[in-house]
Amino acid sequence: MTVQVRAEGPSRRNARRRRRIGEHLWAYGLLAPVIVILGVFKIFPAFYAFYISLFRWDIIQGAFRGLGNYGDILYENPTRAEAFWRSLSTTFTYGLFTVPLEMGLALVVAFLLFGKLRGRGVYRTLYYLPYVTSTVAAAVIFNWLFHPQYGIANAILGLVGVGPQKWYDEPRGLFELAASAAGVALPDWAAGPSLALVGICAFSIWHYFGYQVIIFLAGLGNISNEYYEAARLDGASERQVFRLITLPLLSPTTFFVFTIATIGVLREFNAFYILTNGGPLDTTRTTGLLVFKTFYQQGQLGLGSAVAFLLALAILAFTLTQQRVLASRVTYE
Amino acid sequence: MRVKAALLATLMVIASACSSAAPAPLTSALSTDADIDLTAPTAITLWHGLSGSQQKALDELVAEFNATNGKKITVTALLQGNYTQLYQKTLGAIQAGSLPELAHAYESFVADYTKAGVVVDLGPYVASKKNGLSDKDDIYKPYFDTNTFPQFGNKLLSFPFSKSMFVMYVNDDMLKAKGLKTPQTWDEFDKAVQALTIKDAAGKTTQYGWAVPLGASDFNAWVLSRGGNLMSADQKTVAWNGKEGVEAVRIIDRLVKGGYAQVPKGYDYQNDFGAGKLAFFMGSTSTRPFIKDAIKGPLNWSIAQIPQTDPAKAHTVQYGANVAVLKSTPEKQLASWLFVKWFNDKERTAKWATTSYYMPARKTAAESALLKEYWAKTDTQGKQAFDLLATTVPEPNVRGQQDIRDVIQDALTAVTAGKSTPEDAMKTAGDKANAILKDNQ
Repeated sequence: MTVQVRAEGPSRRNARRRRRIGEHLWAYGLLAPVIVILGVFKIFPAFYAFYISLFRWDIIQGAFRGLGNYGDILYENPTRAEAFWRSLSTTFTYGLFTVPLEMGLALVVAFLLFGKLRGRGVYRTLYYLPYVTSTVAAAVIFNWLFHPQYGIANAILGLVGVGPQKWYDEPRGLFELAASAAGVALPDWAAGPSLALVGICAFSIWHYFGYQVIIFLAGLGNISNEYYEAARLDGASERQVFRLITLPLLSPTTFFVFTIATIGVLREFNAFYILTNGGPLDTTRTTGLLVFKTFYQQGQLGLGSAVAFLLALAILAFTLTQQRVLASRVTYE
Repeated sequence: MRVKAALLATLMVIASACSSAAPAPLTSALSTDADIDLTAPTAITLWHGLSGSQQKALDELVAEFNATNGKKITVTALLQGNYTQLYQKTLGAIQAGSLPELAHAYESFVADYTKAGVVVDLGPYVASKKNGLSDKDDIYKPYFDTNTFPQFGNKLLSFPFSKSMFVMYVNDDMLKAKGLKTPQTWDEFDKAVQALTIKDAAGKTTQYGWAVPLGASDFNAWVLSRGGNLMSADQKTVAWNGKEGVEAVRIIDRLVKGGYAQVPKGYDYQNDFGAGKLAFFMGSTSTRPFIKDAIKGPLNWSIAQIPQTDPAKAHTVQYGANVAVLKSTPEKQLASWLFVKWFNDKERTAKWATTSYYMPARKTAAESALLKEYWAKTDTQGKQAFDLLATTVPEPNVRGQQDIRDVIQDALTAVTAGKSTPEDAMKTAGDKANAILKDNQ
């Protein structure tokens, strides 16, 4: 009997090992297509871009510069450094004007759509429609809506006695324009984001908030009704219910939406490229567009890759800070 | 010892393989390559940026060449998108080491490709007794000037392909109605623009005299028309930031702020001109087909020289792209050159002018019966433009010029937006442009 057990032991172990190896192979086999695709199209290019960023790569590969390209962009070359810091400031200004408004609007709409509303499905579709519309096509339409001569935006302004604006061609700041209408001249530092940038913020909010509405709706659906019932039994008003039940229990969703909206904003390219291509006077040149200009339009591959890496680092730093600051405030059920 | 010898031999093989893969220096003895015979079939590819009717016109000529060249050369013309996309794809091809044999390119593109060591010097091909140009002088000199690169030892690195020039489009009906003649000087132009602008009782402009897109080439032409230069003699600094540049910006500033001239969005001004709502605009001669499309009713219009300080010494900017032969095998390079040469012969350049709206490359093209008939029946303005061809001056073809164009455009935008004075804008732009040139030396 013992002999039999001894004889079965190794064979069972072998069988188990074979099964485990088979399972591993099967798992890796299933993962292989994704690993290959990500490796070839994402991971390798990222490493290669970093490699390029270490060289003077002016159309063709030149001398090894180490971190010289990074130095040029950050402080050494005045023109490059000014362009980089300005682009970063434009990117964050764009985020600052877009993300809170986009999220606030999405939350309000989601909350309204979550209640009992006639034609709820139709509204949900309508709000989601901009998100599934091609950015390029929508941007072209926006260009017409905000056309300085023929656009409907100026026609509406005209009805309320405001003169025509140049919108996406206007390099002057929003506050500067408002002040000049009142006869006050503001210094450059107080001019605010250019009207062109504000126009792009409006486009982005319109284009992306439908997606956030859907996420918020899903988040609202996850909050158990018991909390609401208990609160109402205790005599809580609707405002209190929203502030003390909905908002805290929606915080994981809000945190998620905030994170993806921020990353989306920092990476936005299409809307800028179609609406202004970085102009007028570089007031809408975000860091993403600066990468494109340096890399493709100026043929400075080393410097362009370095800007791309600095942008990636900025996004990483921002996301980590966001996690650290906000994650502790998220309430899970 | 044997191992060492084997190692040495392997290294030599690798080294020679690497050197053959790397682009050969520009000074290679191409004169012999230009004189070889083509016996085997040779296939070459042309990357270009011509779409629509111009692509069709090019395809027709390519088909004619393929059918008649008698040397078994087959050209395949491939559209790569607009000029920016064409440039980006060619840069990608340089990185990948997989180049077309012929590349349609602006001078600044050619300068970048040359920096990468992939452009063939066409000098020996032009001079070749066997395959060269026997009637070189028939081709307009400015076309040679623009394709000769001082930054690269004055080599001829590209050849005219889709050429045009900067001219003034005039609504003759409007001028006639006011009893005015086509303005020849900037003062006359200034007065005409103001006279042809219509404002309502509230002072709001309902019809502009001049639509002025803020382009770098436009600015360059205005500087030349005022007797200025675009570059210093040594090509190391810009020269447009002097008084001619300031004056050029001042007139725009004054007319735009006075409500007489308008900075249009996109190409809207072409529709305004076609609808008879605009007296003047300046632009490329290749805008003609778009104007013809935009005209919906009876309208008499013409092409004229842009206003000048001294009309007797008129100058304007030469527009348009060229074609560069990229390094491949001696056979393919020669085949490419033979296509370029054929494309620019008297008959073909005349035919190209009738189908593409581009300017012919040769003086004798004007003698072509085909072109004469075309100008008389279909394209009066084409002949008006052709008569101005000798006054064209190429724009700088130095590396960094593409960035400098952005700098100029920003200066013009800053002035018209009220963010800068003409003097300050020119000073700042000049400094930036010189820094770019220094970076690209």
